[in-house]
Amino acid sequence: MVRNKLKKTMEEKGERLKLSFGNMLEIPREILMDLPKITLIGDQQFIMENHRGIIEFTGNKVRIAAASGEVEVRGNGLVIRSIFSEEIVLEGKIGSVSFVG
Amino acid sequence: MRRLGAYLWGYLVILVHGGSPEKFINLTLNRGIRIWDLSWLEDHALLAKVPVAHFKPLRHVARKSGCRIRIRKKVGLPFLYWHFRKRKTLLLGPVLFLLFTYLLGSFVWTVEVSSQKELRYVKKNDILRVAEKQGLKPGTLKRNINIEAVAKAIEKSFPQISWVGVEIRGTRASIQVVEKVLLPKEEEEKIPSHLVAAKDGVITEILVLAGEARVTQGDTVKKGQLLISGVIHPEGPKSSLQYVRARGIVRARVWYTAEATAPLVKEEEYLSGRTARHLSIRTGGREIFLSGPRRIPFKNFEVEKEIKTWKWYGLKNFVIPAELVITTYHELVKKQSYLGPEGATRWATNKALARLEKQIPVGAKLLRKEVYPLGIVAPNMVGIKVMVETIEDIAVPQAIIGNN
Repeated sequence: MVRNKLKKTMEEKGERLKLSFGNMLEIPREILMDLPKITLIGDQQFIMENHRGIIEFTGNKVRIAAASGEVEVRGNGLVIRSIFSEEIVLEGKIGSVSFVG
Repeated sequence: MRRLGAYLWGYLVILVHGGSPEKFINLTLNRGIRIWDLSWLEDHALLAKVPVAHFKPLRHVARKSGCRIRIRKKVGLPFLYWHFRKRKTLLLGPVLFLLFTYLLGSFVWTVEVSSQKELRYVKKNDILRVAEKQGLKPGTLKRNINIEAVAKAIEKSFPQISWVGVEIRGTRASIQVVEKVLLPKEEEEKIPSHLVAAKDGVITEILVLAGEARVTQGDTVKKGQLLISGVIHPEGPKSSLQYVRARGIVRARVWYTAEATAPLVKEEEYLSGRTARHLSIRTGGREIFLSGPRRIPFKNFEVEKEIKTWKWYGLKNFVIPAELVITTYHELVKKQSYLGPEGATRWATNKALARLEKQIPVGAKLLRKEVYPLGIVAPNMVGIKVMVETIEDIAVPQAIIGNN
């Protein structure tokens, strides 16, 4: 248990170090910390870079895996316009985008 | 461009159902299979598009994810080609059509002569005939026509032409012609004529260069009166009359008068700068209101109307039967100022002089200028009369008609 806790704090420290270092060098965060980069064009188009595959896909709900947790898009008539290993483009009437986990 | 590429190579619209569609999508990604336009149907079914070349590995993916695939539609050029393979004659039609239009387009079908001004000395048909001799006529192959040779030949055979340009556009050959402009004056000057008075006056000086003088210094002449005759009566008994173009200078005193009135109170209108714009569309005799005030918000105004039509240049002379009417109202503000008798007189004089200035020719010498006040001619109106005396050449040529 103790060891586990220690490990976690170490990890946190590492993350923080990375972040401050990255800020100094102005490195984009999505590259530095492996975060998804999401672009919304109105409520019509949703573009996500750095994704890890699709967890669920229906016409009004799409869940996409990211490095940490997942991104959930809700809306109407959602369509995957294109999908590549580094980028995914959704179209339709987008209602909400939320981060889960 | 990606859409076009997909169409060129051909793609399939597939229906994926059963199993786990999400797993199916992720597996296609891992395998590097292109897939796009995924839309969700009810009951765990998907519609998606894949390139033809990627369909085979997709079946393996389907087996792994427990999905079943069915081809819904085949789209693209390769399929069109397959479709037409069995009906080659059907393809022959468009090919022949293209060939035919290409062939027709390589001929000249119309030859026209155009000029900026109306042709006065050369006939269009004569020009066309010369062009035809050089090989430019309807029905000839475009590449057999030597444009420069045609232009040169036309220039050579018509001395009245100063410039020729030949241009072939599509199936239309146009010959542009510019005529020499010096010619008419020369010709006109050969016509025998008199010199007559352009206006009333008293002759102060007469100088005859050609012709016979009919008036002398000090004569009062009326407008249109003969001054120098172009008909010469030669001395000696037997010789006949001679007709020449009379030339000379006849100077005369000429009087110009003008009356003008001006009000004691000057009412001026000027633009205040405030404007209101009204937009409407006019179509089929009806006007549809678009924007702007429905009532004109000014008491006095000036109207400026601009009408815009839309032309569609794809079709010749096709005009969209609606026009945009932009009406701009400029507010006018009235201002009154009291001029007094002196100011009004000055104003009236200026008005009269401005009117006279238009009548007096450029070469005239001003002798006298007098202003006669007429007093109050109407309530609050001052009248004046301006007289200007000049010395000017009043002779103008007039063609000889009959014998006089």
